[in-house]
Amino acid sequence: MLVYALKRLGRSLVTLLLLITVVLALLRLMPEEGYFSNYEKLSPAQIQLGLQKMGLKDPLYQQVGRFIWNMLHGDLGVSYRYRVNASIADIILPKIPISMKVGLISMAIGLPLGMILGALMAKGKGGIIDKLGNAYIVFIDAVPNAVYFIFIQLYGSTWLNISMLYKEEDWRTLILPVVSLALPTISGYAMWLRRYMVDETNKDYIKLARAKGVPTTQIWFRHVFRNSVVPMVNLIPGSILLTISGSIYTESYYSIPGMGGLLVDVIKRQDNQMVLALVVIFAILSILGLLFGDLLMAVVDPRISFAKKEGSR
Amino acid sequence: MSKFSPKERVSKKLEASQEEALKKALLPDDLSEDQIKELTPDRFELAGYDEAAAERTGYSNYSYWGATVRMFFKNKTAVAMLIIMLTLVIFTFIQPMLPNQFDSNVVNYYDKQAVWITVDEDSVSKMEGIKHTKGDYAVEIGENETLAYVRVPDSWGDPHVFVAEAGGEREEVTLTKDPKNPDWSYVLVNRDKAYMYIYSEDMQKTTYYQAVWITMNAENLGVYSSSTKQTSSDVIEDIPEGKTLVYIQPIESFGVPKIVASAFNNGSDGEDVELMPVDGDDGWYYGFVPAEKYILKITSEDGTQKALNKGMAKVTDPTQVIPLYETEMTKFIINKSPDDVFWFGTNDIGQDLWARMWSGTRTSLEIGIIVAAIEAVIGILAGLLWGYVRALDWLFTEIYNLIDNIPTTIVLILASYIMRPSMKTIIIAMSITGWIGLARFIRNQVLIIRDRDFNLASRCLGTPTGKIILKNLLPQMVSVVMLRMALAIPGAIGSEVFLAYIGLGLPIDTPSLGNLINKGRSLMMAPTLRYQLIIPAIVLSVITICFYLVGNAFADAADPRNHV
Repeated sequence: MLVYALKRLGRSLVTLLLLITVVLALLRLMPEEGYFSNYEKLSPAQIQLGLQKMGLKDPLYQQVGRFIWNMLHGDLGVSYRYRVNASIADIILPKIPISMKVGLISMAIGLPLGMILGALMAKGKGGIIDKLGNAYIVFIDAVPNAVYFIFIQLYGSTWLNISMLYKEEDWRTLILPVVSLALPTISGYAMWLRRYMVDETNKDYIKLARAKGVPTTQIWFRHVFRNSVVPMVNLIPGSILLTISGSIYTESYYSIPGMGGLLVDVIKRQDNQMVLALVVIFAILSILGLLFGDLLMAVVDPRISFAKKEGSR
Repeated sequence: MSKFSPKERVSKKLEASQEEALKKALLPDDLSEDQIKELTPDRFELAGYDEAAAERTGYSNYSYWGATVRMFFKNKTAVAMLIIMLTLVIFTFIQPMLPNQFDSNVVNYYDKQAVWITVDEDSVSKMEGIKHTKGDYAVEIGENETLAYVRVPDSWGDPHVFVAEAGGEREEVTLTKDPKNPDWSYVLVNRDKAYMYIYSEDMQKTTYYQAVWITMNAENLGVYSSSTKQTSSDVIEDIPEGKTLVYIQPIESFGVPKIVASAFNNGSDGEDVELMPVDGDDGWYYGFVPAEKYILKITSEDGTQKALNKGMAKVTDPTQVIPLYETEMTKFIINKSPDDVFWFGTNDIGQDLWARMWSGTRTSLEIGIIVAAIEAVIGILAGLLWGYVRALDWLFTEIYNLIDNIPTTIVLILASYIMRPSMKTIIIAMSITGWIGLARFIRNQVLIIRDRDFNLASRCLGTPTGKIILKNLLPQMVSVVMLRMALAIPGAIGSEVFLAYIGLGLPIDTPSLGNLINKGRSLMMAPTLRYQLIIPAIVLSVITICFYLVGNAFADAADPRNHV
C-alpha cells in the first residue's frame, strides 16, 4: 500500500514537472503584448530588454527551476495586465473561498440527489423513472452547459424574482448558480451509480443471494448499493478539490468573484503570467484530485490491489 | 419417442460399436511405416488454396453490417433522431444553394427607393422598408419618385389609392398588379404628393379614418393618440358636424374614464365628453369631441387617478410614403424580429440570422466532423502501434498518463491562447487530447483479440493478415470507434461554444454556433431580442442531442455481442 502510494505520488510529480516544462516552453509562443501593460508605447529594443529582465530569455531548465522554486515559496509571479504588478497569490487567495463555497454547496446538493436518482433508476430499470432519468442525463450530457446555464439564469431570475447577478449579502442570489452547478453533478453521479448497480445485479453472487432467499431490500442495500458506491469514491476527492478552481460559466455569468471567472477575465485581457499561473494551479488540482481518488479507493476497498494493476500495464 | 428412452440408448450403442468395427476393418487410422513408403507423389493431387472454400468453413452466413443495421432499426427513437439529424445536416450544406438566400455576412439596408405597405383584416396598415417582393423593381423609379408596393386582404377587392400633398386635395392613382408577385400591386408615388390613402374596392374600408385612437400605458399612465385604426369593429360612420370621433382604451383601473375637452392647455372652457362602449371591442369607448377643443384631460371614473399627459383629439395626416432608408434612425435593418423575409430575424448590425444560423451550423459541424476524423485516424493508428510494437509501450503509456491527468478544458484554453484563433487552430486545439482515449482502447483490444482462438483458427486456415484485421479485429472495434466519433461531434460543438464564450473563439465574421449564442447572450436582457439567443440554442440542442443518441444507439447496434 505504502509502496503503491509512493509510486503513485512519484508519477503525479513527474506529470506535473512535464506539464510545467511544456507550458513554459510554449510561453515564448504566447502573444508578447501579454507581458506588458503599455505594450503599444514600447520600442522593439525596450520590449527585448523587458523580456530579458523577466528572465524569459534564459534557458528553459532555468525557467522551470525558478518557476517551481518560487511556486514552492508561494510566489506565483506578478500580474502584468489584470492588476498591474500585483502579486498573483494576493489576487487569487481571496477568491478561493468564494469559489469553494458555491462549489461545495452545489456538491452537497448534487451528490445525494444524484446517488438517489441513480439508485432509483437501477432499481426500476426500464421503468418510467429510468426513462425520465435517462432523458435528463442525455440532455445534460449532450447539450453544452453554456447553453442551458443561460436559460436557467434568464428565466430563473424572472421566475424567482431575484437579481441576475451575485450579491454577497443576499443568499438568494446563490440559488441559481448552485442549481446550475448541481444539475450536471446529479446527472454524472446518477449515470455512474446506475451503471455500476446494474452491473452488480447481474453478478453471480447476487443471483446466489436471491436463490438463498435473502430479502430484496437487504440485497439492494447490503450488497448492490455498497459495492457500487466503491468505484464512485474515486470521483469524490477530485470533485471537492476542483471546487477551488470554480466553474468558468456560472462564475462569469453571475459575476461571482471566484477563480473560474478570473480565468476568463485574464484570458480576455491577455495577461500571460496569470494565464500560466491559473492553468498550472488548475492542473495541479486535477492531478491531486486523481491521486487522492486512487488512494482513497485503495483504502476503502481492500480487494483492490493496485500494485498488480500497475505491474500488468 | 423420447431421446433418452432405453430403446434409443441401446440402438445408439449398437450403432456405435458397429461403426467402430467397420472402421477397424476398412480404414486403419494410421498408416504403417511400410504403407507410407508405398505412397508416391503421383497418387496425390494438389488441392490448392480456394478462397471461397476457406471462407465457407471459416464463416457462417452471418453478416456483420447486416446485423448491425437490423439492430439499429429496432431502436425507433434512434431512427427518428437519425432522420432529423440527416435532414438537418443535409439542409445545412445545401442551404446556400437554395434561391433567395441572404449572405451570412452581408449587412442589410432598408430599401432606398421603395416601400412595402401591408393592410391587414383590421384595416391597419404597416409600411416597411424590407424587400417583400421577389425579383427586381417592377418599374424604373425616377429621381423624385418612390415605388410603393401595396398588399390588401382578399376581402378588400381591388383597392383604390389616392395621393395628396400635405393637407392637399386627393387625387386617385391606379395600382398595377405585379406579375411576379401575385399578392402585390405597385404604384409610383411622386415625392410632392406623398400622402397615401388606401380604400377597398367598394370604398367601405380604408386604412385612414377621420378618427383618433387613444391608448394608455399601464406603467406610467402616458397617453398616446394615433389615427391608425386599432379597434377591430367597423368605424362609426355618422359623425355629427364639427366633431371628431375619438376612441379610447383606458387601463383597467380607470373604469369608464372622464374626458374633459378644451381648446387650450388648462383652459377653463372645458366640456365633458360622453363616452359609449364600443360593440365588439372590450375595453374601448368612443365619443365625439368638438373639432376645435382637441386637448383632452383624462381622469378615472372615481376621479382618483389622472393620466400623465393630455390626449390629442386631432386627426393626423396619413403616413407619408418615403423610403425608410431616409426616415429611420439607422440605415440598417437591425434587430428585426422573425418575419416572412428574414425568417429568423436580423441581428444588431442587420445581418440575416437565418443565413448566419445555417452558416454557423455548417462551421460547427465542419469543425466537429474534422476533429472526429482526426481523432479516429490518429487514434486507430497510434492504438495499433501501441498494441503491436512492444518497445513503444512505455512512451504511449507516459503520454496517456500526462494527458489523462490534465483537464481537457485546460489544454483547450492553453492551446487556443497560444495560437491565434482561426478554424485551423481551433481544430488543432480540440484534437490534441481526444485521440489518446481511442488509442488506448484500440491497444487494449489488439492485445486481447490478437491471440484469441478464432484468430488462431483464421490464421491456420490461411486467411491473410489484412483480412484478419478487416473481418476479425475491426468489427470488435467499430462500435467504440463510431461511438467516439459520434460523441466527438457534439463535444467539439460544445468546446467551440466554450472557446467563443471565453473570447478565444472564431473571429466574428465567421459565423458559428458559439459566436451566435454568445451574441444572443449579450442581448438577452431585452425580451424582444431574445429570439437571437433562443433560435441558435434550439438548433444547437437538437443537433447535439441527435448526434449523441444516434451515436449511442449505433454503438449498441454495432457491438457484436448484441447480435444474437
